[in-house]
Amino acid sequence: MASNASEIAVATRCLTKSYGDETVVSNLDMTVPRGVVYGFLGPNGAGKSTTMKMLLGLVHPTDGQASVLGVPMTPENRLTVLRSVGTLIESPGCYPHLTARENLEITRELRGLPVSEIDDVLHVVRLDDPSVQRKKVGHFSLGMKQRLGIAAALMGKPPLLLLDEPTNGLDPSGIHEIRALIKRLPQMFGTTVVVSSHLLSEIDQMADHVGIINKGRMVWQGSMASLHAHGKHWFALRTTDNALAAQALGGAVTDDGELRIKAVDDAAAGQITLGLARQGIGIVRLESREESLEDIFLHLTGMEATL
Amino acid sequence: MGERHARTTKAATQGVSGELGLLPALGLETRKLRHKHLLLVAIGMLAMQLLWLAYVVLVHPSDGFTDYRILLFQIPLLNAVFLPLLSCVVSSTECDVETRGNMFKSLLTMQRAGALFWIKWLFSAGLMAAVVTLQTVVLTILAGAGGLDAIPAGELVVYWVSTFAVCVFCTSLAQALSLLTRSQFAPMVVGVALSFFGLFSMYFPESVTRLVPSAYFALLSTVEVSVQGKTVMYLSHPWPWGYLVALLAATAAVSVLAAHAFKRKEL
Repeated sequence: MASNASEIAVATRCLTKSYGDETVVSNLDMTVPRGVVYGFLGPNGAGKSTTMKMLLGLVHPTDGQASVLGVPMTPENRLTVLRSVGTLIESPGCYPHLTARENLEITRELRGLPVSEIDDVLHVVRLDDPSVQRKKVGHFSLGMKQRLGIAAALMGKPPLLLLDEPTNGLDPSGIHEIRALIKRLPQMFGTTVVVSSHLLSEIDQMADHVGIINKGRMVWQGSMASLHAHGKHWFALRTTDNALAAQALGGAVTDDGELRIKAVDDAAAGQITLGLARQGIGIVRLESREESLEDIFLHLTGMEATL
Repeated sequence: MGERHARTTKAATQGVSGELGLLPALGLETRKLRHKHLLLVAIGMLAMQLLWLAYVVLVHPSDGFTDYRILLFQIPLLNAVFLPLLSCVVSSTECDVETRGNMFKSLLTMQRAGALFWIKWLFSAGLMAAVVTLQTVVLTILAGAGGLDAIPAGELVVYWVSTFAVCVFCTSLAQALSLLTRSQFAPMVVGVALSFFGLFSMYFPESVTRLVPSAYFALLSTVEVSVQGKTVMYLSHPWPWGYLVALLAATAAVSVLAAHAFKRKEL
């Protein structure tokens, strides 16, 4: 787990959490490279929040180990390690009877940071407008509270951020804003961001790496590019005589007025079209298709239902 | 945005692990309660108590009556009504600011659970110490204003210790309930119940009274009353410090067990 520790922000080995007979996280091996946005994807109840809480020591693992920023986490060094980690778990914590600045003042003092940090993070999350600063947080919209939660997590520009469902309950513009902010963080501060979500599109749009968890088990982990490559590829073909073309192309499958054939390289595709033309079959459309990310996810998790 | 990973830890206020020292941590708890008007609530309750005493001493004084013990007899009865409730309000408000804002998950990545528990315990105890001190000072002023004999310093110390000990038991119980049940309903119900039973338990036999924590305001008193016909006499008796020991043991047990449970609690 520590062999390439400088390149790895978070690593877990056989991380397990059971409540009685129920195992909610099972032998989870997670590897988060430094400087990336790591999407932790899974349906509701898959074990995402429990895993993140175990990384923070808020939930005690039944078995396994975790290292954060190259340091194996123990109850003794937990707070020292977490001084380099910003967190937003489940919903943003705040004191509703205080202003945003007063809230951040408490985080600042606990982390031993300079006062200038408050202005910096308020600016980053766009809560620095004077009219906003006069408001008590209890009067904030959910989106503003989420931004305040992210601001608190960003205090001190920690090298690692753990954000659990940070776009939960936001309207589309709020989601867009938070997503854009998360995507900017690795470039702005070199921060590694672990962001959990049950929304596939969310992760697809902001993550470089992804870990897919289902029923407490990591079912897939790697870069987004390799996840896309993991899906099936095929050609969809529509001709003037699909029945005859299907006979000519052994192995073609008819599907909704189209023929599906195995994906081939350009030279082979040229041979196919020429062969069909020789038999008097006109090619109306030839398209390269690949499994959608949703199909890949459903295939990996074995789920039929839409997330 | 300045230098990355800025860590200007203040050596004077933070320990090696980065945790706050005692005084800055208490200061932080005070700032969390900004706009909560807790002090105003405490002063309001104190004012009600002292108005009652002023009525007894100043408005209806008996001719030639100068026994200060009338105050030390009356005040535990009033304390049994007001102070358990105030103690529970202080403690539950102190915990409620975290619960209401869902702050524990965030705080416990920066502070040890045990440290947070004991800072809150100390804060509540400190506030009640201030309330009891203020009450004691006003008692001496009232005695002077009502033409009573000055309350001996020893009696004041006994009164202060006795009253503070019961308040700390109440704050400890309320804090345990607030932090372990995460509901502010439970400590408030306990506060009201302690106030109610504290008052009425005084009419029960002492064996029953001993089971009611808020009745210890009166149990620990060194003054009793003797009524012979129309004559009311206030008598002193030795301080029943055994009750104090029992109360301190109960407070320690409640607090240590609650702190242990809070430290082990998963969020």
